[in-house]
Amino acid sequence: MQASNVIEISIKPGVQPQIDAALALRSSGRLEEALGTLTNPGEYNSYLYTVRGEIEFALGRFHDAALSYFAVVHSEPDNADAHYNLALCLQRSDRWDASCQAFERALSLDPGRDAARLGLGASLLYLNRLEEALATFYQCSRALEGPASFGKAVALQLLHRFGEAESAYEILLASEPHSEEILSNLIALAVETQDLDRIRDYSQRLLKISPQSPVALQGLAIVALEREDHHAAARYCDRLVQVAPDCLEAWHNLRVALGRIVAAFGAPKPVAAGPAMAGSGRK
Amino acid sequence: MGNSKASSIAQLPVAESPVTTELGSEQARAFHFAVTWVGLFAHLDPVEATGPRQLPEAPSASLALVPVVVPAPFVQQGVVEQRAEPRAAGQRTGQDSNSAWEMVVPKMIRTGSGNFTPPEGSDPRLL
Repeated sequence: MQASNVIEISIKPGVQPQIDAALALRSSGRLEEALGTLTNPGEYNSYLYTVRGEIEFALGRFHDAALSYFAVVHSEPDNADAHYNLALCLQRSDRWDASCQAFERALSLDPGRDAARLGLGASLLYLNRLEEALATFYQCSRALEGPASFGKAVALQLLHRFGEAESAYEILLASEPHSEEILSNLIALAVETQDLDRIRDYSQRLLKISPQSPVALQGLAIVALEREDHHAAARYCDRLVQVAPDCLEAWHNLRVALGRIVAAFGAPKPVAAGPAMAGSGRK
Repeated sequence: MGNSKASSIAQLPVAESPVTTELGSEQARAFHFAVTWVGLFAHLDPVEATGPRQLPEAPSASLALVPVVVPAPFVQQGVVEQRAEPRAAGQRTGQDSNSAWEMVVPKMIRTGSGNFTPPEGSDPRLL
């Protein structure tokens, strides 16, 4: 074959070079630059939009990521991964209702995707659809038993089924003794049931794990206020205003506790004062 | 991956502390305790694509070689029945058969109006 007869076929590069460049930049941690390479693609490519959504998600631009994944699910309606990722973006954009739909779509395409079930349960909790959330967590397989049990405990607590919720939390706490969130929720539960001993116990446990925990300090302050231990109340409220200066209740209660301490000094002395007190400064 | 946004939102259900004790001239105020489920989000990470998605192959919709049943050409029923008479029950058909068929296509005559009409007396005939 003569050289003049060879037909040269020009292959249009398309978007693959853009994708390759973005992936290389992303792997080196240069997410902003990676995202920059994917703007204004010459043509639609679902993989490009998938990578773009991933980078936007990693950058915390959940709304933008949702738009990217919308494009993917539009062109690939049977793509369970894209529906799931879209649901996560919508969830982080506070679009709870829409995220439920996307999770449900992902589950209809891939019923074994437990993470979608967990996400659906979390969104249902925000929507106050508590019974549905509880049922969803019950459907999770053992692969996600721990977080599903936590979801159940939260749903039960919000349903005011406090006994069941506390049992569920206690089981979780046995395997995760340093879980601040479990302890915080248990403090809230004990506050709800007005169980001062449990408030104190859980707050002290939490304070050991996290000495600056506002929830623990609030719990201990409550117990001190209820039991009229004004010095302790003032001490906890004082710590509280340092770690949470925006907590107006802490400022108020600090002032109240201090006022009560000062008032106690001016109060009449008990009649049954000991002999050491008898002539002290009273003429 | 945590969800910091969720933690700030999870303030809907709030437990009020039971503080009602009157302290001095003022009452202590109730603290707010939120039930949170931020821990759930630690298990919800996006699925990363490993490459362009491989679409399932769709079955080819063309160039299929399938047996096709072609409707037999129109033959007057009477002709068939007439020819079938000598065939006794159990008699083999096929290569032992001496019968021969000819299809007679009726001639079409163009009329003045442009329509085709069959000529009179052009019934299919058996040779």
